Formats: sequence, C-alpha cells, structure tokens
Amino acid sequence: MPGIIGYGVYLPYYRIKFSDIAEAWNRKIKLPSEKTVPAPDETPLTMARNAVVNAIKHANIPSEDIGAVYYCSNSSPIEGSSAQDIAIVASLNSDASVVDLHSSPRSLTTAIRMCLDAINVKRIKYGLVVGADILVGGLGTSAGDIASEYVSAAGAGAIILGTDGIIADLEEITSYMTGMKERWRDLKDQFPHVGDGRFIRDFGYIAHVVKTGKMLLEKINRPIDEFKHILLQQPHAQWVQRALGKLGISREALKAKLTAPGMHINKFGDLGAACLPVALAEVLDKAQPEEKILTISYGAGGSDALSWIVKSSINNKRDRTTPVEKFLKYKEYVNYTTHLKYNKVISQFI
Amino acid sequence: MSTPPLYRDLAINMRFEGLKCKNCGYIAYPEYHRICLKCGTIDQWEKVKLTPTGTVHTYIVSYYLPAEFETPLPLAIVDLDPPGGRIYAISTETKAEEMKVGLRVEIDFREIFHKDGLSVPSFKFKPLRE
Repeated sequence: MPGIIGYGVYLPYYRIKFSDIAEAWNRKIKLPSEKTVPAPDETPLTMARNAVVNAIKHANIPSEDIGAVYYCSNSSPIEGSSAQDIAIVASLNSDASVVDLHSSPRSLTTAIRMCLDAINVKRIKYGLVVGADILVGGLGTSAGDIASEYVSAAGAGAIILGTDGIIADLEEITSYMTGMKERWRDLKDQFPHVGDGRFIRDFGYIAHVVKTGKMLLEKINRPIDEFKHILLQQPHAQWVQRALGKLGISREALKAKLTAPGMHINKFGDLGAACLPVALAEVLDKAQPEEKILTISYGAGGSDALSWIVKSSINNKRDRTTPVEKFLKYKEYVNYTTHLKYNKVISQFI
Repeated sequence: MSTPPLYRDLAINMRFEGLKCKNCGYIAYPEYHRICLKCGTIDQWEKVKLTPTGTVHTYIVSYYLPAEFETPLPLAIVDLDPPGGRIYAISTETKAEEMKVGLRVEIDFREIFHKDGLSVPSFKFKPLRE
C-alpha cells in the first residue's frame, strides 16, 4: 500500500485574536484563541506553492517523477485550473495529470483516494495532493457557529504519496456519505450560508465523523486507544471535542487531546481543505516510528477515515521541511479593520 | 487583460529559475537575453535553480504608488545566495523601518497584481525570519 513520502505546509504570518473580533461587535470572549489572516497578496495558489516546495524538498525526489497533482480548495477561482499552476511552479513534466477538486474540505481525502488508485495501478510513481484555502466568514457571525469570522482562516498543506521512502504507511481507508447539506455558497455569495446550528453539528459533523471512524476501527479490528494521534476535520473547537468524546475518548484523555499536536483550530482557525495536511504535518514533525494516526475528514454530508502507521524512515527525513512550529513562532497580530481589509471584505482603497 | 505576455513569462513568474552564462557564470533573472550582459557571449545559457534567500544590496521606500499597493512599500535589489544572481523586487510583510542595506531576506511567491478576476503571481522579498 502506498503512503506518505513527504509533506510541507504554509501558514500566513498575520493573526487576529478572537477577543479582537468580539470587541469589534461589542461582545466579550475570554478564549485565548486566534486564527491566521492572509496577507493582501496571498492567494490559495501562492500558499499552496510554498507548501508544495516544502513537500518536494522533504520527499527528496525529482519533481519530474511526480505524475499527478490533485489540488483541493473551496476558495480558488471557479474557472482556470490552479492544479496546472501548481504543476508549473513545481516543474512537473507536461504529461502530468492535473485535477482540481472543489466544493468541500473533504475533497482532500477524496484526492488521497484518487492518488492511491493511480499509484496502485502503476499509472504514476508519485502523486501530489495539496489543500489550500482562504475562508472568509460572514460579518457579525457568532463565535458558536461554523464558517464564522472567528474561525474562517487561511493556510495550505501538501503531501506526496508514493511507494518508496514511506514515512507513514496508509493502513486502511473508509468512507461514508449521506448527502446532507451543511454549508453552501453560490457564485454570487461573498460568504457561505450555514444550516441550522445544532442540527448540522449533531446530525452532520458528529454523526458522519463518528460513523466513519467506527467503520474504520471495525474494519481494522483495532481499539481507538491504540491511536496516539487522532486528527479530525476542525470546523469548530467544540464540535471536535464532542466528536472525540463520541468516538470513545475518555474524559481524562480528552483534555490532553484538545491541546495535542495537530489540534490547531484555536491556533490557526478553520483551514478548510488544508486542515488535515497541516494537522498531519504537525504530528509527523515529531512522530516516532510505529505510532498510529487516525485522520477523519468531513465536508457537508460525507466523511473519510484514514489510518496511518509511522515508519522508521521518518527519522531520515527530519529537518528537511519547514516545521509547523516555525509558523506558530513567527507571527504578527493585526486589528479587526486590517483583518477585513486583508480578507478583501472591505476595499483596500477607501 | 492581454494573455500572451503572461504565457511567455510563465516560467519566469512561476519558477525561481535563472539562466547562467556557460562562459562567465553570470546569472540572468528575470529578463532572459540572448547576449550575456557581462561577457557578450551569445546563446550560451543553462538553466539554474536560484536560492530563495539573499541580502539587500540597496533599496528605496515608495510612498506614492497606484491604489492597489499598500504604502509605504520597500523595493530592493537583492543579491541572492549561491549560486548567485541579483533581483529587483518589491517587498511583502516588510515595514519601511525594517529596511537596511545588508538585511537578510527570503524570496516568497505572492500575487503581483489582480486584474479582471485573474491573479498574476510572482516573486517578492520579505525579511528572513529564523
């Protein structure tokens, strides 16, 4: 089975504190949370390029050997292939497959499946899966909602899959889909629409994530306690907390899981399609051989669960990529007005 | 928007690669000439990957620019680390008071302009943070 042979991430330099967003709307929030804010000249493509460069350096392979690019984003242009741009910036051969996947953060794990299929039938040697998003929340939305301006953030993550030099082996993958509507955005909409709060939380995110996770555990006949790292799609901190509890994490262990590496909703915000590769990177930066990682994606009405086992060759590739820690260390806070300006919610020139 | 120049400059804008003169080692970026500006050799170039870090050789700070630029905006000539090369670039995430000759910088891939819904990215510099 193919696995991860390299990864890279990119996160913006600017941050805003939740408390600064709340203050602008005369609300009070004591949570020490913050999120990334893209610079005005950052786009999903520029962030993705930087993540991809880091991933290729980490994988230590010639970029010409990458046979396919799967680019996943909910915020990139509707027409005009960004996957092709990635192929150009990464100096891939002209016969590489380029695939753009939109509409759901779950597209990242769908892309992983497509890439694995292409490798398994030996159509390609290596495949590049990249997720990049600049999510912008509706003005004045509540901190309790998903897709709010408190959590909607920006970032990019890339992973390279292959069969040699694997640092994390993919053990198994399961999928579950119901077609439920949770959030949506028409071409004319500046901000996403979101369904009924508790309903989409309980019957959407939690139901799907828990069902897919349990299906996977049953398939591989492994208790959840064997996984040192559990990485869920992170649209909202409380949703993740509840889902982890329903997956069977004890109350004592839950506290540690919420501050563990890979749990970045309170540090970076909701990264959309970049959520899981960034979470995986933060874990793999320090993971030891034989540790098990469970990742579960979610995007409106569907979910994929993937089980990974870290391999010893991870030690040979340490320090070849920019660690997530560096992006946590170097940052500058902006105020609410700058946050709106940089997210292009208000014109830069008024 | 006129797309032929975008297509012709695709590799220059998207890949941080220069041309190295096989005779004297001069590195040309971003303009690609047939004749080496240093030794005059014609059509003797090889592609070379440029290092995305360097040192500010000299700079200016622009205060009056078209509306799409956030001012004050530092612009600099940057001497790239080996194999070398020299680029003229605009900055990103850089304050005017941070600028000085000898500042260590890194090259980053950013949007240069956005017109008619089309984003055109290329390379800018910012202070090296490590």
